[in-house]
Amino acid sequence: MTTNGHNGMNETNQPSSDGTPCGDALDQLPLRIAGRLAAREARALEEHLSRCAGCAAEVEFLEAVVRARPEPPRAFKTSVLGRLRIDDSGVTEAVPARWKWLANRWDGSQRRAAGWGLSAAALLVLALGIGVVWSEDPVADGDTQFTSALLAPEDEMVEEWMVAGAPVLDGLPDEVLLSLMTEMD
Amino acid sequence: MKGKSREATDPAPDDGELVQRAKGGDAAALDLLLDRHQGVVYRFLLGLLGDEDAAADAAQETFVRALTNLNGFRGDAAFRTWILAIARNEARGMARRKSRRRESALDDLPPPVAGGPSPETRALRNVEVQRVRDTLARLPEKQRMSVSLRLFDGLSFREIAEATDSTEGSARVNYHHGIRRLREWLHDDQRT
Ligand SMILES: [Zn+2]
Repeated sequence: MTTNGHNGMNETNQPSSDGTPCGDALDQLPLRIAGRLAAREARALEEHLSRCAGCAAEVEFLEAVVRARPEPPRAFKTSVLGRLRIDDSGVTEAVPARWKWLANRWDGSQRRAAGWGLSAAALLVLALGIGVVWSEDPVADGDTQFTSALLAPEDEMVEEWMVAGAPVLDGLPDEVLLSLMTEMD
Repeated sequence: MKGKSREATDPAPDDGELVQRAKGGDAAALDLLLDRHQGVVYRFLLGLLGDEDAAADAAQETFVRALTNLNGFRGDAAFRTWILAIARNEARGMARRKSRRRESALDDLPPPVAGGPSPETRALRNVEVQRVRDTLARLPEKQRMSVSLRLFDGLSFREIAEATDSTEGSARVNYHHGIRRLREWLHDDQRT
């Protein structure tokens, strides 16, 4: 596994990473942190880290960033399950989006997934009976300053979203993307 | 809901198997799918929308759509790839709807960090955590997405490319550029 033993770092900062031992290591560090490396790769990486101060330092930096990993709200799973009905025929939606505040409010107490759908539906009926009507989905909107090219509306995929693996839209060629990125830098 | 949902034989069923079970009404399988993918879906949406509430909202919608349309998952791509495509569509719809605005709440508290350090340590750490998150949020979109998907969720560059309309090569470059810039910015901030 000794690849030349160049223990001096080429810059850690170098983005292009193909081929060189440090490049490979820097590519793989996130997977090491996520515990997703195969045993053989992991061994090679540990070996490199034991010899390369630059990459070893990078581990510390990446771990510090990973500590800032955002997590979904605590009750997230319960909220989702609270909107579903699960039975032998599969999974169906028991509480539509405009009623989800109900499911969200109500979740927590009940633990049995099988019971959720029905009870949430019962609550829905109750609320309907009371005659509360919501014309609109109370969406929590984000701040406007956040713009996203990935969310540009021109290529809607109204139907495509249900297709496995879709949509792999053919993007620009690598060179174009790379030159764009260089411009951004 | 007992049945075959908890076979002792395989400790970690793959997503395809979980989907099959969920289609048959296996609540435990559904639970596992959620456990496995809620993080990446939420973070993906946070990267796209830049707002914690909006991301949680869109993530909930994403899962409801996906889990009630499991027949649309044909299994020739990874479940994660499939649900990220749904998430992106959800985010797109949300971005389209947001015409009327409320003021942004940039100072929302970060969710609590896991673990049990002392309150002082935690307070210090939260400052650091927020600083990293804010800095990450300033990265150009594709760099931000690549860093998040790679570093927080361990996706391959190919998966990142699929989720972000990119190529494997640019996903890699975006990741490394993003990390480099993140390091520089965090370092610069510290000095001022
Ligand atoms: Zn190295």
